[in-house]
Amino acid sequence: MENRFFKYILLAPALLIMGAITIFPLARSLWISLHEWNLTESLEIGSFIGFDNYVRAFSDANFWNSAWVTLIFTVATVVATIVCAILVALLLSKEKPYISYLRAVLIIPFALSPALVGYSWRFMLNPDYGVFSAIIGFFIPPLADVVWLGNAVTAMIALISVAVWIWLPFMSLMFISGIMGLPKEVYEAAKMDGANGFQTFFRITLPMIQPIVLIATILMTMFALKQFDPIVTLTSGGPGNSTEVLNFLVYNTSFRYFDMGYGAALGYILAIITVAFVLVYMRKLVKGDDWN
Amino acid sequence: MKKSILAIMLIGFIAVLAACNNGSDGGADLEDQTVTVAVTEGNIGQFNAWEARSEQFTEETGIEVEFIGIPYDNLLDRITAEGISGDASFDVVTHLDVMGPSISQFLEPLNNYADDDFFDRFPESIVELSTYDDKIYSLPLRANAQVLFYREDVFEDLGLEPPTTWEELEEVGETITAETDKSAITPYYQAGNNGQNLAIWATYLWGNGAEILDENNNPVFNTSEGVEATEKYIGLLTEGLAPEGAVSFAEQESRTHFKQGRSAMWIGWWWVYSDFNASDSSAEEVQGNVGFTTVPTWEGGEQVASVSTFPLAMMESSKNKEAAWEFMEWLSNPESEKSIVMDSLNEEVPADQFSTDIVQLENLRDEELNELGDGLFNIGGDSFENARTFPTIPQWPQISDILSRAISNMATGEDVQSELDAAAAEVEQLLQE
Repeated sequence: MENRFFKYILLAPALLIMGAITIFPLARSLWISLHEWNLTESLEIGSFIGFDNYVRAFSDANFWNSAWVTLIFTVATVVATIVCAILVALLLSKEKPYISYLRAVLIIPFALSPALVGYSWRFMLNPDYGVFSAIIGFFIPPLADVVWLGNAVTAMIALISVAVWIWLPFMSLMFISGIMGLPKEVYEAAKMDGANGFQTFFRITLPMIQPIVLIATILMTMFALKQFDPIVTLTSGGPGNSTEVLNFLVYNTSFRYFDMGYGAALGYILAIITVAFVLVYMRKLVKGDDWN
Repeated sequence: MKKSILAIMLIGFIAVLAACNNGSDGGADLEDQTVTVAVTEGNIGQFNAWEARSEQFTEETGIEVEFIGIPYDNLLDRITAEGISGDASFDVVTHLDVMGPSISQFLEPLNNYADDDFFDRFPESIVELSTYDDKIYSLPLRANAQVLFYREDVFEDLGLEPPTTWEELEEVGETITAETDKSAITPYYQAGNNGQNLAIWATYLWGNGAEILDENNNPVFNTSEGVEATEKYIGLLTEGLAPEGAVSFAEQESRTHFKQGRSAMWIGWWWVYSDFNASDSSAEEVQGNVGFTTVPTWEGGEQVASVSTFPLAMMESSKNKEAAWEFMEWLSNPESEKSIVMDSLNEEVPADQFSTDIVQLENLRDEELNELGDGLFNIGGDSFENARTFPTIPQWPQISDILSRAISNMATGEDVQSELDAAAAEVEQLLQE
C-alpha cells in the first residue's frame, strides 16, 4: 500500500512545478482567448465571447498577411537549411585533422545571440556602409545599389538567409554525426559495384540518414515558426508588414496594443499550427522502419 | 479595575494622537524611505546626471534614491507587468510619451501633488503629452523638439541659406546633390520603432493644414492636403534628394548617415546636436560644422514642429509616494535643470553626464544658457511653442503602427492616395471596435 503511493509522492513536486509553469499558463491563456480583454481599459478580464477572437483572426487582413509571411519564411528556411546542412555535412564528415578544426569553427554563428545576429546583419546589409553590400557590389556590380531591406522580396530573402545562417551550424553538426556513424562496408560495396558519387549519395547516404532528416526537419520547422529576435532586429516586420510573421503579430497585439484576448487567440492559432506540423512529421517518422 | 481601563484608554488616545501627528509631518517619516527610480539603459547623460545629483537630494532630505536601468525594448512590457502585479519594484519610471495612454492606469495622477501653476513651468505642448482624461500623469523633464540640422560648411561653400520652407529645402537640396557627392537630406522611412517615421511626416502634414484625426477622432489624414503633404515627404526619396537606403533606415541609421558626412541636412530631435559635433562620434568633416534652425514649413503656412517626450511618472502602486514626489519635485527645480546643462557645456562633469536637455520655459530663454549653447535653446523654445503632438488616446500605438507601415509602403513605391485611404479605413475600423 505504502509503495503504491510512494511513487506519486516522489512525482508530486515535478507535477506541481510542471502544472504551475506549463499547464496553468496554457489553461489560463486559453481562458483569456475566450474573453474580450483590453488591458488599456481594465485590469480585470472582460466578458466571455466564446470563439469570437478566433473568428476575428480569420477576418483580419493582418492575420492573413502574417500567416502567409510565416508560411513563406518557414518553408524557405527549413528547405534551405536542411539542404545546405546536408551539403556542408558531406564536405565535413571526413576524418581529417583540419576538418575537425573546421567543424569547431562552424559552430560560431550558432553560439551568437540571434538578436545580435539580426543587428549585425542589419549593419552589414546597409546600402551605404554595409560590408555585405560592398562585397556583393564589387563582385556583381548591378547589385551594388540594391537596398536589401528596402523592398518586400529582398527583405524576405535577407531574413531567410540570416535564419539559415543562424541554424546551419547546428543542423550541419547533426548531419555530420549521422553521416560519420554510417557503416563503411556499405560504401565499400557500392564502390566495388561501380556506383558514382551521385548514386552513392541518393541511393545510400540519403536513405540511411532519413530519420535524421526527419528529426532535423521537425526541429527546424519549430525553430522557424518560433523565430522572433532576428526578425525584430533585422527588419522589424518591414518594409510595411511584409516580413511580419505570426510571432511578431502576437507580440504586437498582446504586448504593444494590450489586446490580451485576441493576442492569446493568435498565440493559440500559432501553437496549433506548430503542433500540426510536428504531428504530421511524427506520423511519418514513426511509420515504417524509419525510426530504426 | 476602572482606573486601569482608563489608563489604557488614555495611552491609546495618546498613541492615536502621536500617529496623526506623524502622518501630517511627512519629513520625519520620509527620512527612512528609499525611492527607486527606473530609467532606460543606454548611458543617457541626463539620467546619469540625475543619479549623480541624487546624493545631494539625500543629504538635504534623508531620502535615499536608487536608480535601476531597464532596456528600452523591454520598457513597456516591464511597466505593464509591474503595474498589473500591483507591487511595482520601482516608485518612479521614465517612459516614452506614446506609451502613456496604455500605461496611465498604472500611474499616479500628479494633480494630487501639485496645482496647475506648477506645470506652467513647462511648454504647453509637452504637458499635453503627459495629460490623459484631463489629468497630468508625468513630469516632462526630458523632451525633444524637432529642428533642422544642416552642414554649415557645405551651405557656405555653395552660397546657400538654410531653408525656411519645404520648397526652399528642395531647391537647396537640388544644388547640393548637383554640386557635391552628398545626399541633400537623410529622412527615415522604416516602419516600426514606435512610429519613428511619423515625426517628419506629421510636420509636413500639420504645416499643410491637414490633421491625423479630427475632433471626433475620425481619421482625416487622407484629405487632399494630407495627400499633398505625404507626396512631398515621400518626394524627398523619389526626387533623389535622399539616399535610396533611407527606405530601410530607422532614426539611428539615418543619424549615422548624416554623422558620416554623407548628407547635408537632417531633421530630428535636438538632443543630437552635441552628438553631431562631438569628436568621438562624427566624421572629422562633420565635427563643429553642424548648424541648426527651425523645421521648414509650407510657403505661407503655419510653422509647426513635432515634439517627443520621455517623461517621469510615479507608479500608482508605489508605497513611497510622498518621498517619490519629493524627489520628482526636486528634479523639477529650474535651477537644477540649468545647473546640469551649464556644467555639461562648461565641461565640468564627466562625459557620461553630458546633457543639453532643457524643457523649462525660463531656461529655454535663459541668456547664459543660450550663449553657451549657440542659441540652441532658443530654437528649441521656438519649436516647443510651435509644436504639435500626436493624439493621446489609448488606441494610438495601433494607429501609429498602421500609419508607420503605410509610410514605409509608400516609400517602397506604393501609391500615396490608396495607401492613405487603406490606412484611414483600418484606423476607422479600429476606432469603431
